[in-house]
Amino acid sequence: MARTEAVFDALGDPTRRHIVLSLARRSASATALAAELPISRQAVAKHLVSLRDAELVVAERVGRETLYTLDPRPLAEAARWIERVGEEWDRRLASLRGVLDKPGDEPGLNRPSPNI
Amino acid sequence: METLEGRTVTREEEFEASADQVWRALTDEAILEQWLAEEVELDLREGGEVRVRDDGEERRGRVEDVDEGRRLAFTWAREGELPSLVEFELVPCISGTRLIVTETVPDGVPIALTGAAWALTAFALRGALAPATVPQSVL
Repeated sequence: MARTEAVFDALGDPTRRHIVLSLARRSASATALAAELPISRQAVAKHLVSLRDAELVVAERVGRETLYTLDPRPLAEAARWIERVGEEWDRRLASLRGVLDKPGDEPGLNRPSPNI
Repeated sequence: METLEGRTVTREEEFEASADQVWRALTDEAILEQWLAEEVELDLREGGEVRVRDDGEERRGRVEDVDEGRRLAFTWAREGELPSLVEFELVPCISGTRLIVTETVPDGVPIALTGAAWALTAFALRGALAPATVPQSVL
């Protein structure tokens, strides 16, 4: 739960969203990320810390560089609730369509309305 | 049609039925039990109790708004969960009636998906895409 909140805190910032999207394409060092952003390497490093706190980004030492890789699992966790609720409504609305499409078979819908 | 924005799930469906027929399908317990859940108790007045049982699970809540033939809103929650708000809106259309269903996740549920965060999530879950297809709106 707490981690999911950290995920969306982390994604609340446009620079961090850019970093996440960039890392979704390929792993990169802070230097490489800074090259595509109008901010310093130090500023990028700070954003990477909050992304690591949210467990969205994994750091790995490769030679003299630290390479950052996206871990999309926390995003999936956060998306699951919304997906589940949507699927429930898809299922219910399909049933409702069944009810409304053949009103002749449904005594409830055949009943004269008090408003007409 | 489905849309997703913020902490809200929305579905829109058009039915070849009058607003009155759709309204009854949303408010008559016997009809609700044909599509919403196995057992439905709905006290159709503001503050009225809502009890929905389905698949051995019970949700309880309260009616928030009744605007006959136009809008019905209630909260519901499983035991120990925070309630979410369910809203039905009926809009007449050429083919009959458009029903707009919205379920809004309550504050405190660990979903704070802004539109941008959702687009990003969907993007990240799809995996790496060519740079040209990165949705600019999320940047």
